[in-house]
Amino acid sequence: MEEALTRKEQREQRRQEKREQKASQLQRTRNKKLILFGLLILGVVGLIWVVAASQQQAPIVDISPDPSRGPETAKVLIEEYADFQCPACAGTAPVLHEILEEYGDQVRFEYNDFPLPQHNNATTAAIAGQCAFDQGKFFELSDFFYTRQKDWSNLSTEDAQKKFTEYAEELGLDMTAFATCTTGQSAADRVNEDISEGRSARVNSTPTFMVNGKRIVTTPFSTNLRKAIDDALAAAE
Amino acid sequence: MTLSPLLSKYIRHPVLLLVVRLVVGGVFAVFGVVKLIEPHEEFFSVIAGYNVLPAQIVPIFGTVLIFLEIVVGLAFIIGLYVRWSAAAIAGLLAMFLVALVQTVARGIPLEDCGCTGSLINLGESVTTVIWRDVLMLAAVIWFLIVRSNAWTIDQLMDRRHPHSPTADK
Repeated sequence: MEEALTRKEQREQRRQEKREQKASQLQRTRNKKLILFGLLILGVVGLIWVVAASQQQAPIVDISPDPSRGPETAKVLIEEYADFQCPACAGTAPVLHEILEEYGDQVRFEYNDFPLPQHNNATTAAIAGQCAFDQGKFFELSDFFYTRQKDWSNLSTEDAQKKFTEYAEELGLDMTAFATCTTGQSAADRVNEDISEGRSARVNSTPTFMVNGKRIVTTPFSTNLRKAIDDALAAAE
Repeated sequence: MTLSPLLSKYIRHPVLLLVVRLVVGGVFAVFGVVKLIEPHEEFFSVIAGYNVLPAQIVPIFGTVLIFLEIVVGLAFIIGLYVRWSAAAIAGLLAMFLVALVQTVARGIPLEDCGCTGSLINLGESVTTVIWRDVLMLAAVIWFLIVRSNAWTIDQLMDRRHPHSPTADK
């Protein structure tokens, strides 16, 4: 009887050992998976770190003067990279005007061309803008581009060029100089310099705004730009 | 209702399930990496454009979203915690769909859905993006219903321990 009980106990013991073995194997598998998942997360974190480190390079700075407003001594510099054919740029333009008026001499604004390839008339408009800049009428023409964007966005490049010539006439520009400029290389080179500068600053979309070199989130535009200016003014004091 | 054995065999076919994992997981991982490479402010601006989240939350939400997209995308591709990663992808897709549909319902113009990051411009309309997400969600739900671990890291590890609750039966 004693021996039978011992055998029963032995069987039970073996079963128990098997159960423990299974549980231990299961735990090991779970641990291995967790370690693998941990490695995956570490890999992603490492990738984020590498990307962040690789983006620390200094951007190219174009040497040609850009259309600007406000004193050079202003504590806050607002840089915009924009495309005249981009609807979002047209949307932010009146808000930007209002904010520049409000902050007056405390801020300086600099405009940079960044015509996007998907907008067929954007480069032509950017060149026309540079030619108006040569005659001191950049912001007036840029207002025309934005407020009348729907009139020229869907035109062929040739027709858009005619439309821009009409705008230039309306603004009273020297049309001979304007025509020479739009067909020449200088304005196109300045647009390309802006594009290179933008690319080196990792601009991919328009409008992109930077306040004292720091890119801002452009939605909601008014709130975020005001906050960035206020922060920059506070930091400068 | 039971499926015919032939149909049942095909919808559980490991090659088909692997394709789902590679395509859907690939979309998440690749677009996540693209968003990581581009300036984050651009992605945050797109998220803010949905008019759903308060502006203060957007940067944190955007950062977590990029991280999640890459992690769950890669986990789904290699088949690590494959059901959990499938469930997480389904959850993210459902969230994207709700966000997209509400912009249509509220008449919010979206120039860019932010799905692919600004470095890749597929030029899709919101409707196209909705259909693409619905298709991916359906594929992931099918994957979850089929409950197969075929050709996954999970299967590889569970084979060594057939008693694992996640082992392929």
